[in-house]
Amino acid sequence: MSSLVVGHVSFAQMTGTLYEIQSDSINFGGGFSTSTSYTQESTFGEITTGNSSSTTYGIRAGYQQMQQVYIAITTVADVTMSPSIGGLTGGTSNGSTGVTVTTDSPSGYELTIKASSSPALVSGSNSFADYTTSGAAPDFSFSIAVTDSEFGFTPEGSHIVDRFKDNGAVCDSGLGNTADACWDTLSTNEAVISRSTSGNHPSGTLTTLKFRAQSGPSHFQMEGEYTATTTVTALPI
Amino acid sequence: MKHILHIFIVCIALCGFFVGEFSSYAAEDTFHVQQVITDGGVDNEDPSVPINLVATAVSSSQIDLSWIASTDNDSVEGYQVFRDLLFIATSTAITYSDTGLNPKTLYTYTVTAFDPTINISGNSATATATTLAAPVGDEDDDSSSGGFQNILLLNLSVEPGLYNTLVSFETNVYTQAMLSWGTTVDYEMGTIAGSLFLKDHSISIEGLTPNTLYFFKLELVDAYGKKLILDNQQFTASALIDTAPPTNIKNLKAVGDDEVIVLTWNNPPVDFDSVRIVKSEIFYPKDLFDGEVIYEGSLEKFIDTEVVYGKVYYYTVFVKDTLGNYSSGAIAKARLYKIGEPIDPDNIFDGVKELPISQVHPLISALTIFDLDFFQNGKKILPSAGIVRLEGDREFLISLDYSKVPEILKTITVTMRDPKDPSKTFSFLLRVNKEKTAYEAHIAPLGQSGDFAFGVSILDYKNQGLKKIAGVIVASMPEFTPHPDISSGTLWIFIQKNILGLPLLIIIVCLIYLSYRSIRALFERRNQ
Repeated sequence: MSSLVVGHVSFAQMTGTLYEIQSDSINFGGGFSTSTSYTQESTFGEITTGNSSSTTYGIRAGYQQMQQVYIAITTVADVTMSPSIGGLTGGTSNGSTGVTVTTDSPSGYELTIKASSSPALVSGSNSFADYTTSGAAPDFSFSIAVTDSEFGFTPEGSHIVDRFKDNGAVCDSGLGNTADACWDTLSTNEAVISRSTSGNHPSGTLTTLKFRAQSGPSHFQMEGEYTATTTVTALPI
Repeated sequence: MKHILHIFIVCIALCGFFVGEFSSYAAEDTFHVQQVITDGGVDNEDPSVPINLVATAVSSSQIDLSWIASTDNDSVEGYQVFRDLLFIATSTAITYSDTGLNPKTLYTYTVTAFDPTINISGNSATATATTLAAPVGDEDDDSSSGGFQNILLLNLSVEPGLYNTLVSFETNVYTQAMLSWGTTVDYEMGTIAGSLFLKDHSISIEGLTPNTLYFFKLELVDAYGKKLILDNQQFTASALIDTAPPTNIKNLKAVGDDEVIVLTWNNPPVDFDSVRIVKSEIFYPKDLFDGEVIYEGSLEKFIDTEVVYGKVYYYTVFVKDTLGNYSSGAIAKARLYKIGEPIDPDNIFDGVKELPISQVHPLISALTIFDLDFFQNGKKILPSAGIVRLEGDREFLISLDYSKVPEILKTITVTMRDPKDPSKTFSFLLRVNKEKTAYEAHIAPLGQSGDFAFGVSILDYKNQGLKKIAGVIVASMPEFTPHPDISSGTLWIFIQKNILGLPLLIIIVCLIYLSYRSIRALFERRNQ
């Protein structure tokens, strides 16, 4: 299942001390305007332009030929967590998938994730609770009470944001990316998981998404097939 | 009309433009994460059947079994061992030694595995073995013992501990081992005899005394009765190592005049080698290297001449014992005074700008006297209503659990006031111990009865806040020990309970009487 959002106006990129807008359509007069905080190039016109490719959902849009932005993500495979968990005995189950973002945006991209429901992992009226972190940062180790069942995720890759980096023991600290560490809540609010400040076209950058469901030995989880509908979105910045 | 049409077209274009202006480009995909929960979670799956069961006769009465471990969707809890179709034992290992068998008898074995919910695997393939013939003839006679190989003792290892020692070795054939030990070659202290025939042996000798020489003897017997004796072996149990810090010095005083600062103190009577004095112009040196070392030796006085007027000098005196352990440190500060200049009040935290207690780290702020631990004679002394009762003739330990204070830069001190001279105070550092479990100060015996007011101060460097905990140590000296300043009450008790005191009482009474007579005679003579 996939969707594609296509706008028809060029993507903005200004250059200033605080932010960057690649192109804009604010002024109709054309030419360049400058200010102390940024430089902007103005255009006039109204063209819906761009290329899109079907398998990778790429977009090349804009009506300034030299300023168009390309961004694409690979199709994200569905995840079947393994192994099955016994409703009485409990257990831990894991699964993963990957998403590769490719953009020629010189200022990079941001990749976000969100669930379509809260809690995320549901089967009819039954659910796993969203993973609860012990503090503001993700938990380095996945840990729940023996009387609970919870579902969480962690991203891994070279572009993951600081929140998911670790120092070997604590997340949102250090520069490491320990495997199977830094577990977070998958909520209906978009959470930034990867970010780059430069383009990566044409190779792209993979972000691996790992999911974990756990049911404590003193918790009874109703039998069924539980599903978390999840959306990842890549935005050029 | 044409203008209106143009305006309409422009408006439509603008609307379209601005709607587009607020759109952003994104690449997005939605996927599913699926998890299956099975019914009730009851485990009905049997472990796999154990394979490669091997039976080996190692003596006339023992057959050893081994097999390859089973697997299970949950875990393998253990194995059931059957001899000639009869259940004989459960084993959590993948080996079993069946003993008490008859010589020269064929036995057939099978093994099953079971999991925590007692799902049981099928039977393994059978394995058979025939026990060896019973030993015959003289056991010391190799020719009649029936053994094919001489016993070889391999890789003998002795690992002495404080109170036990582990003796490990291997033999080339299955043997039973017997170990005897003692402090002489009579091996008078005991014997341990193994019941199984093994190739890998490990015997632990218990109940030893540290730093003591022991002798031991090994006797090995194989399945044919062949023997190997190894005697006159020896080892020494490990020695106790003193890692406890010594007690601090007593009565540390630092007094400045117009030229020098004089430090005096009393060294502890036992477990003492020397003192090290560390000096700083910043604050009390918190360890052996936190300042300039100005003295190392066993005297009880040091004159610091390297001082100038206008500066405050901080001293920490550490006691070193004969094994190189150092005490937590006693502290004092002093400065030079010009002639006639008033002496500063004695406050170890002079110069520390205090902030309200609310700004001290919350862990420090929450401390009370009940967070302090007092130990004496190996026992924990619990405070009652802020009072700690201690024996005045014994050293004691003040301790603050490491976890009760944050890992921030801090100085923890304990200060005690002399009950007979309230102007005298003595301060010690509480330093973290080697195990990093507590901040501790070992205090020498107080040496007198009385109420010693004490205060523990924790200086939080980060917040520049000071937390103080106050209490009283009530020290009591042994009841019947004669003392130079013995009071009339204790003297009476002493005399009552000790007949040897009677002559002393008579002498004192006589002296008082004679003095009275002399003074009276003097007055009478004057009046005349």
